[in-house]
Amino acid sequence: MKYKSHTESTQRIINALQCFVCCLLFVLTGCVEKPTDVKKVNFLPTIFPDYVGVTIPAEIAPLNFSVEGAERVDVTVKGENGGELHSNGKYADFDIDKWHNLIEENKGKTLTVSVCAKIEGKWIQYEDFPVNVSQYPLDEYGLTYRRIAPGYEVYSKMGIYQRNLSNFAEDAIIENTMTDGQCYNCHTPNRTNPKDFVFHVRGEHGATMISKKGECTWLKASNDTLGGAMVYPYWHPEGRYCTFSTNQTRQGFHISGHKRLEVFDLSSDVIVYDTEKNEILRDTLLNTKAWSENTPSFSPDGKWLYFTTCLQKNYPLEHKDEKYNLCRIAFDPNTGRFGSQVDTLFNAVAMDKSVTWPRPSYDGKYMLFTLSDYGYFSIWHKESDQWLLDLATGEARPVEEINSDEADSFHNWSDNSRWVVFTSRRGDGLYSNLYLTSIDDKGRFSKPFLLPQKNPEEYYTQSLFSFNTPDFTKEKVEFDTRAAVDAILSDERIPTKVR
Amino acid sequence: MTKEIQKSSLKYIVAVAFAVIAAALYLFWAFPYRAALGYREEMQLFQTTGTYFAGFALRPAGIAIYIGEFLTQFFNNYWIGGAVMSLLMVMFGLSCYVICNKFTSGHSKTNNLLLSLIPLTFLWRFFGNQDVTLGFITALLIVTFGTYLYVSTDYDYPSAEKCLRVIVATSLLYWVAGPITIVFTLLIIAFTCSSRQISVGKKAIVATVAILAIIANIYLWSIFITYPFSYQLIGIGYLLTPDVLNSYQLIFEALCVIVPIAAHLMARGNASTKRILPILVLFVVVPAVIRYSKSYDKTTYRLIDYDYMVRANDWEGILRYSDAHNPDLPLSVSATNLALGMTGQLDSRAFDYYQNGTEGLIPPFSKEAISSWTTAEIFFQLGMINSAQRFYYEGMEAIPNYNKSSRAVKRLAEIAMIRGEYKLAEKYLRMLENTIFYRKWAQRNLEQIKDLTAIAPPIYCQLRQRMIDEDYLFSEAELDKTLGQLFIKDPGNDLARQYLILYPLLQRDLDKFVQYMGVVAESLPQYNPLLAQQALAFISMKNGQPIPKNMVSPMVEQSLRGFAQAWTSKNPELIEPHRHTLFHYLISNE
Repeated sequence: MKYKSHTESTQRIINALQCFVCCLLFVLTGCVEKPTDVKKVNFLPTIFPDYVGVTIPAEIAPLNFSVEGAERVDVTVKGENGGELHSNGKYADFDIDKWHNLIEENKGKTLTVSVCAKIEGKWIQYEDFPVNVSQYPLDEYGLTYRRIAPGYEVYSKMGIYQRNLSNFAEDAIIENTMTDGQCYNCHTPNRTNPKDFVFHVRGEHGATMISKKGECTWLKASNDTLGGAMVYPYWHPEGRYCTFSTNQTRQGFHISGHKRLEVFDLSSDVIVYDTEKNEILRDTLLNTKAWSENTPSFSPDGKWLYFTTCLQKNYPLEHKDEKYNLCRIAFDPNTGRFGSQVDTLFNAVAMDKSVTWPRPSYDGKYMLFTLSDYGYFSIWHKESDQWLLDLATGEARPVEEINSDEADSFHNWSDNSRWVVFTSRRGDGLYSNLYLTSIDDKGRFSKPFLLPQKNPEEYYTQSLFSFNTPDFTKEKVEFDTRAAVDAILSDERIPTKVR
Repeated sequence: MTKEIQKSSLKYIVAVAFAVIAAALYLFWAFPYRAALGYREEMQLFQTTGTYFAGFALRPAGIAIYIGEFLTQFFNNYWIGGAVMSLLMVMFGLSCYVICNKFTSGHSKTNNLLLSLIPLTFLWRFFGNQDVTLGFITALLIVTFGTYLYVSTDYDYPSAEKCLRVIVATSLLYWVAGPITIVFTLLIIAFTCSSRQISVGKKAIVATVAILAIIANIYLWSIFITYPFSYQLIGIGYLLTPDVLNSYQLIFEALCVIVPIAAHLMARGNASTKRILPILVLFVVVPAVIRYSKSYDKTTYRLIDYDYMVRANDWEGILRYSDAHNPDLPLSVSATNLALGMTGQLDSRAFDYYQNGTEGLIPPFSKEAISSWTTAEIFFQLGMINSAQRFYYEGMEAIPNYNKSSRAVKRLAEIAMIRGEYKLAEKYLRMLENTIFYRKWAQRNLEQIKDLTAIAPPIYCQLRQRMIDEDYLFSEAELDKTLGQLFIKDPGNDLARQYLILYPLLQRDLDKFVQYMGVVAESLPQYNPLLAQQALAFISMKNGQPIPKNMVSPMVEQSLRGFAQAWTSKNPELIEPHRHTLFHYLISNE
């Protein structure tokens, strides 16, 4: 056996290292390809996501994008107030820190994006497009939402997640892989405050979890005297009460046409849960037999309870006649008593339409809701659109500047009432994604933009999930998931009392 | 010189032995059990993208499962799939053999060859569980390779260095291969303890560190991963059912440890111990091979076979299989009926096979992948595209390890194209474009949806035309009405027509049958299949009316009279020949 000398071995290592460094340099330099023989065209690039002319908050993560059909892109972003950012690669992928420096410097100003793309071996310079940096801050850490496949009765992996809006980090608050495939839904903070929130657990270990100042209470999912399980929560601004509807939900599946499924309730009522007394507050006006009361929310001053109401029909036969109006009833937070009359705020039935998901802006100016042809589970209704009701004048209008041909559905406001997040199926007609938009002083919304991702095209193409029930979160949600899993599996639940 | 000859002849024997095993395994997987390959392939959607890889990288065994899924995609082609399966198993057998050689310091290689057959046989038996993934065998190979590498380089290092090697190797293996790393831990402890050059104190230190290292890895990973602790111990991704601990898995993992130790002990033993080894192995391996069907459950594999043929739309194959195996399970009955319908024989031969009521035509929804997909295929072929979409989607969501499915996504893309939902179709096609086996198909269809003026494949046009216009909500109790609408929409829909006629007969509702025959007769006045003649003859006889000779053939009339005689005689022997007839079904309530 021959032994290699020490020098020989060292030399081999040095050679290998040299080879490695050369390869690395080749790869790195190969990653940047400067545009040559560029042909200018007088039209805009087709980019995904469509960020052309959108308005963004200064805190938002980089608006990475790809250009249709491009092998490589060379993108420069210039700020009106100065600063410049450059990206060259398969898609526009901006450095997070440099991006934030640029948009911080250009608050309330416009960024100009110059795109050069190599298509079929030739470089093309498109017309520049603007991106407006809003003067209004977002003032939120990020978003919370549920991710679930838009299926029918069976669901695979799903969970409630939080997303840092300044970068691309997503964390699971809770995932059903931890608890043998339970379903979690309706994660709802109190006015974006992550200390107070509620969510439901469905299935074998069902519960309603209420977290107040970080302390969790696990309630029985339903109460024998209530018609169904507690669903669709909304917090009273003072944090003592939380309103729910109690729905006996059923599903039906379309045999033909472009709709897939319907959700309807054999009954539903609206209740308010007193977290201090563990007591359910009911009222005859909110618990009628002939009517279904549904999707409640509180006014920002806490003095009104908004809800939708619909004449109960024979479902599934008459599911197309399930049409809700938007109503309100007075609420006294001191006594937990309701007013004696119900006001109709928006008569959708007169338009042969149906209202769902009423969400007042926290400044008390507007009510954003979804309008569809019938029913209330608007995400499955292609025709559903966002509508804005001016609470001072009572005038309502379809928010055409943010609506699309596909379902535009659940929404929530940022704490400063300047930003809205909503779900829309405009991408492909089935998978709902999150869009953000801002509202100006005149009540006009800006062009919505898709939630940014590191590599948006790959992310959204490969995602077989829908995002739903999104909300803003002021800070990162701190939640002891392991303890929650133990609590879920323990089945120890606190029964609720009815006043 | 003699020793060298012995050495080279042993090498030759080893090579021949493993070549024979490889050939046998190849034939096994590529022929009688090819459907099991298809089953594993359809339970995943492996994509060649960074995002897909990222989903695996940060969990124990993720890398092994990723490699396993990469290899599983080749099961799309059973010729290649059989080779992959055979190669992996033989590689495992070889790795056992070389580890045994290390444990015996290169002595008793013949014995080691025989011993390595034991875990290999048990691995083959373990794979009789259709839910064991290639991720498991990949993890196993990584661990055995890691063990081999470790014992091959286990020189007389100082204690600290030895401990560091153990910690690094355990952590790396646990990350890449998951909890099967316990095999590595136990083997290196055994290897260290068997060494005569290492002091007892050093052995104790290495053993303690090895055990602590694996415990620490299990604990640390459990903090980060979002699965129950028990799943982590079983191995996330080793099986499609992550919550089920298969006792075979434990036995097999134990064997992976016991066999090298046994090799070591036998190498140290006397000549008589060595002589009894072949007999011992013979007693373990031969019965395990002969009784392999204990692990390859007949009923399960029949369903997998049907699923495979339904997926391939191999209608003639299904009928041949049903002729040989007498289908009596809900999935096999519905698959046979579908095959009969697709070959235009349902309205004449339905009762040649066992029937279990209308559920044998269109089974109800169950939260399980392959039965959902079989039902989905029935809807698809009928033209109930929305329902096909639902059942394909639900079947995919029911895959227990949260995977997506290549088969389902492909069909969903087709369904989206049929429904004219081109953006959605594009999404699915783009996913399939990131695969090896569906890429070309996806690209072809992407081109097609880009240019909507291009002529769509005839099957899509036909199915689009078959979709009924009236929209209402699906009702399992009223499926016959939907079948009627499908037929009225397209009288050329042979499958809907046959299902429509058979449906009331399976309900034993003869009034409804007459009504539906009337509907069919409006479009096809000449339509008079064998089952219709039998039903008509039966109704006439039941009502005491003469059998209409112009509508019922003499042969049918004769068979009815034969049945009536047998039935009234109440003699089971006389009734038996009529058991597979509509008459018997209608009257017997069986």
